[in-house]
Parts: sequence; C-alpha cells; structure tokens
Amino acid sequence: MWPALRPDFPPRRGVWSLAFAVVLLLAYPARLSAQELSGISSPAKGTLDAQLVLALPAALATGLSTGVGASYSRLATKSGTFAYGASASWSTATEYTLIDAVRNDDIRLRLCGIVQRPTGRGVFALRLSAGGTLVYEDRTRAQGNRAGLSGSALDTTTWSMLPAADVEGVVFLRVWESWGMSVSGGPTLHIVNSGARWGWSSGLGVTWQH
Amino acid sequence: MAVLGISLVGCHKLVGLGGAVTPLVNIKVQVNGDFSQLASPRIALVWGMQWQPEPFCVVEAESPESPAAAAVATAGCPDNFRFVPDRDAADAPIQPGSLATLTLVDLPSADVMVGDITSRVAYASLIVYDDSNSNGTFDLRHPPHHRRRGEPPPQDDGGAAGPPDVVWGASFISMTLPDQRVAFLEGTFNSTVAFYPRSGCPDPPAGFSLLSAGGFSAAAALASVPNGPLPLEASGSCATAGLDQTVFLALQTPSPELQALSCMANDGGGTSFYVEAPADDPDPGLTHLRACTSFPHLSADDGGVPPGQQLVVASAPTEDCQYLTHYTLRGCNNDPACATPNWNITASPPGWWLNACPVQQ
Repeated sequence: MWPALRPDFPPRRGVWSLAFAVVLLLAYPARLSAQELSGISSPAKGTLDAQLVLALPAALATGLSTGVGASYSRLATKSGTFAYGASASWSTATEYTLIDAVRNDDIRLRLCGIVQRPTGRGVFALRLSAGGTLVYEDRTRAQGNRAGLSGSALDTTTWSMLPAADVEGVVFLRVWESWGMSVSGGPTLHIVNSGARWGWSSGLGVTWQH
Repeated sequence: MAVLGISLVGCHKLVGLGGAVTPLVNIKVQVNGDFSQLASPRIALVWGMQWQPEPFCVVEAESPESPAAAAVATAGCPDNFRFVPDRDAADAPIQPGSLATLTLVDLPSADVMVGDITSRVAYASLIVYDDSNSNGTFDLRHPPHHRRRGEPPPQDDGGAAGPPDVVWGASFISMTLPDQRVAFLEGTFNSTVAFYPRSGCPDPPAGFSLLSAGGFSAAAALASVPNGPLPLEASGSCATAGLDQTVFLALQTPSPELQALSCMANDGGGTSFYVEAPADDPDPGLTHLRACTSFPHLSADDGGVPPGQQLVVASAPTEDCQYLTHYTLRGCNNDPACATPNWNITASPPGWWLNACPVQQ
C-alpha cells in the first residue's frame, strides 16, 4: 500500500525510479544482453580511418599541432599481410614569441605501405609513409596592431612543401560490425630548409572496414 | 602526389620562430654640432616617468623660508619641471651631420604609460650622450635609496660601472624649455592627466607621433600650482608630426640640467621620505648644505602644517644626481605628523641635533 499522497508527504522519487528500472529489466532482456563477439579470420579488404591528429609541428621548433585526418588502405595480398593506401591530415599550431605570433598549418599528404597481422578482433600494423607536408606559415608581428602596422609589416604568409616520411605503429580494433577504432603513432621526418627535422605524430580515430 | 605538390607550390623558406625582427617604428635623427669632445657619441630614446617634485622643492622655489633653505633647495632639488627618465628603449650610434635611425621593437610597456587601458600615453625624449663606459646603452642612475626604518641608512645603487654617461643634448629637457617629444597614445587622449601636459596644444594622434611645444616659465608654473593646471604653452609653439619626419637636434654644452636627464626618481608621488635623525651627525664635516626648516605646506593642502622641524640635507655637488635627505626627531617615513610615529626621540635628541636644529619644538 502506498501512503496517501499528501502535499506534506510526497512519495520518494528514488522508489519510483527503482521500480521503473526493474520493469525495464524484465521487459527487455534481449536488448540488454551483450553482443557476441567473434574473432576475425582475415583483415578487411579496405579500411577507412578518420582520426584526431596530434603531432609535433612540421616546421615549428616547439608546440603541439592538432587537427584531423583520414586514410584509406586496401589489401595488397590475399593473405592480408600487406596493404597500401593514402592518407591526408590537417593540423595547426600557434606559438608566440616576444616578436611574433606564428601559426603553422600542416597539410600532410602521404602514400603508404602497410605490414599487418590480425589478432582476435584487432589488427596490428606498421605503416610506412612517404610524401610531403604542405606548410602554411602565418606570422603576425606582436604589438603590430597597437603600433598601427599594416600590410606585410604586420602580417606575412608563406607556403612551403616539405618532403616527409613517417613510420607508424597502428592498431585497428573492430568494435561493432564494420565499425571500430584505431590508435596510431610514430616518428616523422621532414626536410626543412635543407635540414632534417625529426618529429612525431599520433592519431586516435574511428574506422570503417569492408 | 608530393612531387606534384612541390612542383606546384615551390619551396619558400619558412621562418618559424626566429628570423629578422620587424621594427614597430623607425625614428630618423640627425644631430649637428662639434663632436670633437665626444669619444663615443650615441643617441637614446628614453621613455619618461610621471613625477612630481617634493613639496619642499616647490615651496622653497616659490617663497624660501630662509637663505639656508633656499641654498639647500638649489643644491638638492632637481628642476621641478624636468623630464624624468624611466627606461632606455632604443639606442644608436651617431655621427655628426648624418642620419641615425632609432629602431623601436617594443611598444612602451604599461608601466611607462599613464592612464587606463582605454586612454594612456607615453612620452619619450631623444637624448644625445657620450657613452663614457662604452657599454652601448644610456645608463640611468638613481639618487640614493632611503631604506625603511630598521634598515641601513641611505644607500646608493651606484649605477653602471665606470664613469657616468655625459649628456650633450636632448629633445625634451624640461617643460620650461621648448621640447620635441616622441609620443605613443592608445585610445583617446585624456587631457586631464598631469603627465608632461601641453596645455593649449592639440591632442596627440593615436599611435606614434612627434610632438612639439614651446614650454612655459617656471615662475608661471609655480604660480599655477595651487590652482592645478599648468600654464598654456606659448602661442604657436605646438606642432604634431609623424615619425616619418627627421628629428634635428643640436649638440649642447653639458650642464647639471642636462645631466639630470640620466637621473631617475625614487618616488614619483611628490612626497618626501623622512628618516630618523641618527645618533651621530651624518655629515660632521659639513660637506653637504643643510638647513633646519619647518615642514612644507602647500597652499592648496588643507591638511595643516605638521608641527616640529626637519633637517634637510642636500646632495653634494660632486654626486651624479641631486636629492634631499629629510631628518626628523619624530614621525614615519611618509609623514612627520603620523599619529603613531615609528620613531620619537624628541625627549632625548642626539647631541649634534641641538646644534643643527636648535629651535626644535
């Protein structure tokens, strides 16, 4: 028996919530059971990957470049050990000195070869990439606006294409049907103003495989 | 793809976080005169500080209490309307009759600007000097700092090593002389700010500019002190120009007034710093001028005249900067009539005091 509803003695909200949860559990047992997972006998023919990218800027001496990227890879052999593909990403970083604010936009364009091995619902891969990073550098003179500078005295921009190569370890994990996630990371090499510059890049993304 | 990209875009050199510094402004200066006595002539752009003279200096200049007090004021008070340096912002070597360029890579910082963020201004003087110690910068000096009670007696920071830089001219020496000043204004100009005012002149434009004014007489300025605003600048003496104009300066003969441009001020607030009379006479040889006087009272100040007397000691003529030291038997560092004095030796003054200030009340 529920107590009579009176303005000075309302029913407890927690009791109603608990009762509602019990009804849901009894009525929809199938929906709440875990999805059965099965191992993957062979890698997917194709993998589309969209990632959040974190990397050392290609040309800036310091900072963290953040952005987004995408890649597509396709099996090269029936055994599934080798694949090839292409990737592109955009990331940006802004750093400040007493003199300038420098923003670099890095557009990384790569062709890649992949050596991979399926394990359970995952795939461990080593991705070797080569290509170029298109860098857009925007330098704004600190205090320039306050000083009344304009034009190139205030702001200068430059495009530059840097030859680049990456080595990345990649893990693909299929989570639900064709959808999964990926984690990648590894060293990068850029040729900046005729000199080699080492860096790193990493990504965390969503994959779709077919 | 990459090769195609390289061929399309080309290879431009990235600068990154380094590279050449873009000047915010260049100021062209030409100094004329006989440079034969200058070993290392240079010019500096020096931002000024807001400064008010000590009441003693104002009162004694207006109506001296005694000949001795007047002599102390003459020896120890710098020009009441002088340009007081705060920061050396740019420096360059100069040659007679040829253009020199002063390059500013930073705006004046907030502490050398007067006013709030929507209305603040900075003024600079272009100072010609002989870099006596060859360190490539105009060395600013402090008068001796007075320490708070319980700390050692007055101390001098000594300034830069070597002989002091000798000032041979400046574009802005004092408000009582014609001046040319570099101005930087942010926001709207507030004409009520008493920062090297140019009464009667047009407001400076926003950003950098070169301003001129004819100056006013010290007597007229002292007469206007009780009323507030300083006198109008001489008619027709005001001018405003951009920094694309060349500034022409003439070499002058070094003088105490010019040399004072290398002296900063310890306190810009127009207050005196009082110290306790020490047990022993601070100047037994009487190498400094001194006078026993009452405490100064400005006619616009309704706080009344503090009771008692002070012994005011002037800096020596051989010192780099002019300054005063105020000794009292009772008081606090900023107020000789404070309700709870930091020191009170009126009942047992030191022996030397009775000779120096025999009328102590």
